[in-house]
Amino acid sequence: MIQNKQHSNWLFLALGMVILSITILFPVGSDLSIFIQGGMILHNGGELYVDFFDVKPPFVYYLFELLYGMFDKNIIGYRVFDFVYQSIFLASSVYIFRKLDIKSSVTNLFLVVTPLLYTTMGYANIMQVESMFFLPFIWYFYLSFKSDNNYKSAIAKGILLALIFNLKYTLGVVLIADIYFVVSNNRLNKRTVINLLIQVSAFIFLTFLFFLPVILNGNTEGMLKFMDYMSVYSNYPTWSFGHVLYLIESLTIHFSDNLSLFLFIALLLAVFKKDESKNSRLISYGLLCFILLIITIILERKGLAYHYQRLIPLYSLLASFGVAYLLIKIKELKVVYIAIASVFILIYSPLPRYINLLKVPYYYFSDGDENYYNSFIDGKYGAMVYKHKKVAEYLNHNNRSDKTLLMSANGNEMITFLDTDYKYSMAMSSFYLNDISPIELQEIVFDELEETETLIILNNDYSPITFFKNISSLGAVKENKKFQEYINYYFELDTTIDNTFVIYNRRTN
Amino acid sequence: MLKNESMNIYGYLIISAILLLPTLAFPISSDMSVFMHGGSLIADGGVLYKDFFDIKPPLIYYIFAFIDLLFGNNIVAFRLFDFAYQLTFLGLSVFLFRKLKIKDMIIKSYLILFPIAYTVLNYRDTFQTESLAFIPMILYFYLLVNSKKSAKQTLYMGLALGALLSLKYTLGIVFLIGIYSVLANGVKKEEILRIVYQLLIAFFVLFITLSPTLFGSGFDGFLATNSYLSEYAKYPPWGAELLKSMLKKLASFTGEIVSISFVFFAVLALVKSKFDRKIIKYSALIISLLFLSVLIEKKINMYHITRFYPLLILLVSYGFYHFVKNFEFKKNIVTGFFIVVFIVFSPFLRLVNTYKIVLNRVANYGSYVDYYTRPGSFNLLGHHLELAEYINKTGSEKFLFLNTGGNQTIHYLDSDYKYKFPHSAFHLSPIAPKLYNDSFEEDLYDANTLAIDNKDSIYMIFLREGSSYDVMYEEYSEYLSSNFYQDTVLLDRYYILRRKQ
Repeated sequence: MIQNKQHSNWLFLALGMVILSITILFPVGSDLSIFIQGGMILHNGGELYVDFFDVKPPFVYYLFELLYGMFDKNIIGYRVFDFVYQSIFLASSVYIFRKLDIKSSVTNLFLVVTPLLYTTMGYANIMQVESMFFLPFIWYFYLSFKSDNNYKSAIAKGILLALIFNLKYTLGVVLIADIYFVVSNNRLNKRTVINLLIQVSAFIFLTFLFFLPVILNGNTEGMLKFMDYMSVYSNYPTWSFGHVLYLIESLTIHFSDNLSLFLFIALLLAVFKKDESKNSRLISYGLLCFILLIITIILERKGLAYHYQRLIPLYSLLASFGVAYLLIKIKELKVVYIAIASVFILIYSPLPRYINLLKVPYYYFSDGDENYYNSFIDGKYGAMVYKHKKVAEYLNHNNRSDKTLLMSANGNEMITFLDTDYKYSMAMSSFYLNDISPIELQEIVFDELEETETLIILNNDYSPITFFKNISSLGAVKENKKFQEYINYYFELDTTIDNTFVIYNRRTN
Repeated sequence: MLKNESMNIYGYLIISAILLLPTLAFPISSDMSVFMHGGSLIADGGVLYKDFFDIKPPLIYYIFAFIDLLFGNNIVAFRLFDFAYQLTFLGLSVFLFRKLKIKDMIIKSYLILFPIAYTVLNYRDTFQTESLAFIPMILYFYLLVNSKKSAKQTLYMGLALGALLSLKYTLGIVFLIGIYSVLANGVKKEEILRIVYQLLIAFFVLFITLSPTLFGSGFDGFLATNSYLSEYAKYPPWGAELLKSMLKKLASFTGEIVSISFVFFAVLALVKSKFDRKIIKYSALIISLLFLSVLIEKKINMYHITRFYPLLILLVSYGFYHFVKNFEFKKNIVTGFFIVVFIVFSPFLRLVNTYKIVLNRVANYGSYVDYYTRPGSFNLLGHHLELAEYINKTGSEKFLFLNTGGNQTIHYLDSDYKYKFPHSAFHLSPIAPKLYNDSFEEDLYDANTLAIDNKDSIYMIFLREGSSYDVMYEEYSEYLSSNFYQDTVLLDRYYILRRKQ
């Protein structure tokens, strides 16, 4: 009987992988294009904070340097990597949940809910650093909850914590949960303090290793200056009553729509009746980590869809406890009521979103480029990936050299479609075109502009979060006297594609 | 003792009244403006579907005509009527719930949670036909649960059902529960007869509300409106896009306005509450049917969802009671978590904001108007005030406002000239019956001043591209050019035209 239940876990893992498999066909997203840009430049011999600048910790770009070496500009390669990574995370979860004596039905639900939530986040919001957080986090959560008071466990936790921290600094908050758990369970003694020190030491050592290439290349000062500048970003939007309301609205929208109302209600139900569960302590600890991760979203202030992705492992786990309970209750009902309950669950679950995504493989295999790319709408910007692709095709068709500079504040998807490798340094135009950008950064880009033969500027990439005002790259260039005069003098308008990409060529005389 | 307890519960109505108080400060909404427009015309002796055209069943206009007769075209009086109506509904609910032997704590919760849920709907989603359906809805529910098999019971159920049908045809869907219970309890002849009688009474009530139209001079207009309505209802067509948009709106309205906390309490009542299972079961069934009626109507707005508020909030009250009784409040993370969830994901913060609106209405009218003026949305109070002020200053006799999406302006005018179409889209739509065109032209030929909106393009209502301004100049360009001159353009959207002397 037990073996049967264990078998069912593997069957559900297979089902979860089938659900996830649709992501392999997703095109490049805006953030993924920036990671690839970083990986590409490092792979081609560039250095971080000299030849490439972006806000994420260095580890992310070293990882993408490796991935670029493997997949070049083949997006399916990256998507397969992500699929395998998430599958390993799901398999790890099965192993861990068994060790934690979680009911098989809860694990099975987790194996369906997690890939559903992940996949329905959409092409632009997955394969983020938050997605890569899942795997080290679930192990860290396990080791932390298991509370083996030995040095091996402490070292393992330190390594995992370093991985988590170097994906996104704020995610290091999980250390607080670990410490709180020890203290709240009255297990604070000499041994635990020593193990905590071992964990922190391992964490610091590995983090140091991740920064070592930057230090050895002598780019520490550049990194610190850039980080200092980037800290301004984390202060935007500034705290105000209006921003608090915005964050509350963002939380409500995500818990009632993107992360599904049904699952959030199930999560609340699981927490409410946790004392009836044999996994009561686990639910409490899961809730603690969940709350801390929500706090990091609030502290980061942006409240964008992918920020909520960090919640998925615990959100799915806690919701699965609730769903398992609800299913037991529903089974006791008459057929009519089961039918009614099923309709409500369907409407308020991620399933309709997933069904909508089934058009992706359909278009991919049957309908050609246009419908396929047009099905990936980037909110008010429309099908941006397709637009990027069309620009790249135009450039490729006209045999443009690698001296092509893109000024965009919302992603550089185009570079993955170009025949040549992209070599310019900034992930976002707003880094050097906003009102507070350091002169050094502006000069770096100006030098690049001086050797550029083709210049592409977006006219609709309004990004108040990074420009600090509602302006597009083209608008910001027009406000920057030095850039504007240089472009006016040395460049001429070639064409505008999709009313979005304004393309200039260097004048020949 | 029992009398004291009863007094105590009715005393909670004072809290309900305080919680409903902000609704008095709400401005006119676009729908309410249309109801007031129709009501005022009828009160002045006009005929529905002859002197005024809209697609709702007649009862709502007669109710508004009644209020107009009592108080005139006074915005606060209309809101006051709604306030009194909702309090009456709550008072009646207390009476009926006590008859159903619902625990006092649950009734008290209801008296607090319902007005909160209603008040936070704000101006656009209150005082709709759905809000007026609360009383017949709770009566029908009570009679269904009470299930006495008497002629009186059948009569009352028929009357309540008739009132629901007369307010909005689709609300009649609750009748299906009667059929379900007959089928579930074994088909008996007398039960079937009771259902038939109930239906006959309901149709009789509907017939009564329709009779002024059926036997008056508005009959042709009524037929034209129904033919228009049958075409109008086909849009948007069923398909993946419509389903996507409906699901998105449902998630947003349920999570943000009904609120996550309230949904949680309702689910808690369904799965955990051990007593009053029949009440909970019937509430869930009625909610499900009304939910289905919202889906059938296709055009989902928040006020459509409020049709099941009387029973949803009853479930919420059961769940709330269960939570309070069973949850161990301690100084721990779980307690803290729930407190934060119930503050952040409940209507609580919206309620605080609603009181701020009241404060602004009293002390800072400019800020109040700004709050209700967001160009690009339907919140255009400031625009309507400015337009009305200009028209009043320059002469408001025989004023014809050609816009779609809300004609609040006319309720701020000094003169009471009223035209036939509250939404220009009705007669400018490609599916408009000839009678609509003829009726509109009567107004057009009579008007001295026109205000034409050039930013009210709503395909869902017009069923064609373009604003009122665009379509008017497409259809009546020659007439407008030869008989009117452009006076001014207000707020870059309202073209004011004056008749040439």
